[in-house]
Amino acid sequence: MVQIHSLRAVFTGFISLVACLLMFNSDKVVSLQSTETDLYRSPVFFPTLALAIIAVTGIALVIQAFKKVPFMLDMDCEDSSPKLFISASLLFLFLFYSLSSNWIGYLFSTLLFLMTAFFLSGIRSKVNIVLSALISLSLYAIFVWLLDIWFPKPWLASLLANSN
Amino acid sequence: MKLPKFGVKAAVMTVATCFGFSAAAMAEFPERPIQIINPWAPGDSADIVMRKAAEYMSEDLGVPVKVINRTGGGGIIGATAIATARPDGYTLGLLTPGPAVTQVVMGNTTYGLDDLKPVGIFWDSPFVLAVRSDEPFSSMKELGDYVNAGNTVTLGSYAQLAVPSLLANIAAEKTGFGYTRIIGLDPVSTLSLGTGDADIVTLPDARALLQDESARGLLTLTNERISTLPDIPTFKEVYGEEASLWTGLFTPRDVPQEVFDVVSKAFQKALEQDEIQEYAKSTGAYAYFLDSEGSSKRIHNEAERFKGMIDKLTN
Amino acid sequence: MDILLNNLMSGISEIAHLNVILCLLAGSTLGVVIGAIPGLGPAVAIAVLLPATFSMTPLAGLSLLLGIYCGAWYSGSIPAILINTPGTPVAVLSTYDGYPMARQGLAKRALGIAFTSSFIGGMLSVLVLILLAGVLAGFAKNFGAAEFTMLTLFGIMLVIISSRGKVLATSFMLGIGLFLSTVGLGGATGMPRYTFGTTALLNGIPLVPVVLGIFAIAQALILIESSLTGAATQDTAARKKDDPSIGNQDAGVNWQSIKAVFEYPRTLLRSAGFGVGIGVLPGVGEFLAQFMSYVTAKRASRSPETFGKGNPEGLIASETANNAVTGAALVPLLALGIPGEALTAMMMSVFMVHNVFPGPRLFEQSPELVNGIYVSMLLMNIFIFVLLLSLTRWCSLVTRINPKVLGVTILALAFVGAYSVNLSLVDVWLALGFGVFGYLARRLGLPVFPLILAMVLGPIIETRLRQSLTISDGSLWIFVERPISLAVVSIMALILIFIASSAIRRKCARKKDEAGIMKPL
Repeated sequence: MVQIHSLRAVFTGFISLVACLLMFNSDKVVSLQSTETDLYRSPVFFPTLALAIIAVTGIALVIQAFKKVPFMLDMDCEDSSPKLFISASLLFLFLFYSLSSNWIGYLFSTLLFLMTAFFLSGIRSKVNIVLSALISLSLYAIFVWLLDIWFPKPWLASLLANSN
Repeated sequence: MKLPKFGVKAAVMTVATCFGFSAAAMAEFPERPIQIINPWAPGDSADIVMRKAAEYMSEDLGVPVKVINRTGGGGIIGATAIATARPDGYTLGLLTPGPAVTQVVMGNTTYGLDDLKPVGIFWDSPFVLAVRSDEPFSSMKELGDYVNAGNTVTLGSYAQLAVPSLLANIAAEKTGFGYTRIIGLDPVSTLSLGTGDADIVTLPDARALLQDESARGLLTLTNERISTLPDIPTFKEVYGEEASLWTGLFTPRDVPQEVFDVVSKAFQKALEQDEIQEYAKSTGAYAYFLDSEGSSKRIHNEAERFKGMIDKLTN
Repeated sequence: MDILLNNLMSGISEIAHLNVILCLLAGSTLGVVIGAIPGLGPAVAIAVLLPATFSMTPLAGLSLLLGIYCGAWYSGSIPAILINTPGTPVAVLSTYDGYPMARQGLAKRALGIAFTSSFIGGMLSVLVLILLAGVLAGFAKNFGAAEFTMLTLFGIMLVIISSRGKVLATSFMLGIGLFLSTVGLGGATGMPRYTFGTTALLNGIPLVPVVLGIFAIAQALILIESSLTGAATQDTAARKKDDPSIGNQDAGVNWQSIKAVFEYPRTLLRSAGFGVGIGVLPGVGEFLAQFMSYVTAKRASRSPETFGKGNPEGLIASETANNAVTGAALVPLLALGIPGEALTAMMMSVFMVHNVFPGPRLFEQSPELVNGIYVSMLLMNIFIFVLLLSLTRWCSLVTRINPKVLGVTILALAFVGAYSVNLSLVDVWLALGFGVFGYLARRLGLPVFPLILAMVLGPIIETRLRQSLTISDGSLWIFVERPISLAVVSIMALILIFIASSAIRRKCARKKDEAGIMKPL
């Protein structure tokens, strides 16, 4: 629990720091073309209010964390412990998945993503391939056929096509 | 990874060859589906009419023509997608004065006024300046006198610098008064008149006035009289200047001329269909076709005119 | 009663056409599927199908779209209960009590309760719509800028009150949500804010990728982790353990859970009332209604401490209010001709493409269409309810799927869900970013629900506050000068006084017996 407390302090402290930075540099990140005289009509009025809430409550949470005020985790998080390596690699895989869909098309990138993700999370038998194929095909059926969602034409395919 | 690598490669190659064939057989435009990006949400009159026109274009060109809505950012997201699309004629888009003119003038876009080539402006939406029925004025001139006599009038429009609001302000300037305040509303409806939030609104669909007896129109933001509300004078009649909330079909700048001509011809043919003219009449909108050059000219004129008003409102 | 019967009779003759019935069934089924897939909301499906409805008769087209709308409202609770990921943003509150129930092995019971209370909420709201559309429209007409400002503030207050003892952390997340909602073009002049010069962020931060990131992606990671921790073994054991109170686990229809709903008649009626009454206010209604009904149910309950830990009453309160909104949300559209938000705006275009303009005169000009819509909504509520009841068993099997498979599939769904709204990869990356954020927040015990609600309510508060202050030239008196706004302000003040006094009383009591266990509000 000690570790979670300090991590929580770092997390909320960091966000509240970012909020402060944004708050005091608002003239640089918001284009203030208009010279509104009324405070409430200024485009930074409401965001500044929100940022102030973040900053103040964030600091209060840091203090709470230092005082080791107990807090509840939700049910799923109580029952399991973080496996940062697997989660991080799944998130990276997700990033590659989104990039690859432009290259090799939705169907193939989904198939590849599912196979790699199943492999990473420990499903390494033949079930892997069968499941991945089934899931990616049904996703393709639902989204591309049924809902007619438009995906970019595979970039790689058109590249090869042009060089022909 | 259990999957043999050559499997993937083979799959990629298969897909590639499919496209390879089509590319090799490239003969005449069009041979693939054409998509038309609409930067606004589906369902307004311009969107509906473009969908109808797309069906006729599709019949004419022999490939599917599909309208895709890419909304957000005041139309800039969709417009940027059109401007940066590959200029092969397979990506077209709809633009309105917002993303095509005012956002460019305000410097909010990465594209310039000429980065989008108009096929043609073809649709004026039936915008009306509406007020409560019991207000003591019945024309813009009387409204001007009313304001100048010391009364306060709040204008309700989308955003302060949105095109309908700019036009309402230009109208006021020409009449010789200024609105006391401008508030942003979304959606703009006659409801805001009833709650007292606004005294005059830029109503996007004239048909709402036929439903709501507690509101009436002062001026239409159009060049032609709105067919469903023939008694309301137009901006052009009153001020002698063109003003409308138009929609035009555009392509990326560098589309080859022969492809551009094919699109333009099919589009004009689609617009001539009875169904489209009838639909325009029933909504109160105005369907026409202003060619590429004329459209470009109008865009540049509007850029100048709106810039003046934007500078005035922001200072 | 006569009016009701007459309306229904004329509506039935309208709807007795094969294409209308087919659209109704197809729409409802599609809605149920779409609602159950996290990230895919009715908005996506309606936007996709909208052009197709233009060539149908108005009633057929509207039946299709309304079917999707109502169906999604029902089934959004399925993933909320089973995998702690709301299928549609409005089902967020159903995770509070639904998911703990599923974890206790009561998945089927939770689903049955959710469907039944949804059904009652939905049916009641249509009946109220038939009888009182005019009255409700008159009510909705009085809500201007000041009233909406106070209502949204009230909504924010309710989120904090129902924060299960984490007031500070909830406010923190609310602040983040409020801030995120200001990114993009905004302010009185529509200038870019916090976009750092990119076009991608001009659109602001859309809700769907955030919901997908914070709920779906984070939940997927935690699911996979839990299956690797070994907690899964006892977990699945708990899930497989038959609960004696449900009786026959494999029965087709779970009558016990239907009966359970009727054990709380007051909660049911009150929640439906909140849903119908507040649902007429576009944008705010659907969230405010369920929070109000949840908080009141908790206050009125004899065992408020079990709320949020699997109390069926909490689930009933949120689901009934949720679905009671569906009928009410149509009031501004049908009776005033004013669509409140994107979904009803799209439905409005179905009228418009056929040259029927909704509004007060619609009831005189084409009463048969209005009655057809009523009957269609009643029928689809019945159909969806029967469909879902018969599917309960299959749905509940989701809890028995290997968490790893489930987790990875959720990730794949999150990708396409985030992409599909704006056809943009930027949204996918946003979802990924919020996935990381949501994962960290949940692991560190920070509640993620408030962020979503603040993102929904943020833009409304900001614009309405600015409108109100513009009208009053900056004076705050506007909020107490208008009667409805004053009423909301007084309710808020009363609640604050009540909370403060009970907190003081509790402090005194604690000093006395030194029990030291702080009861969450």
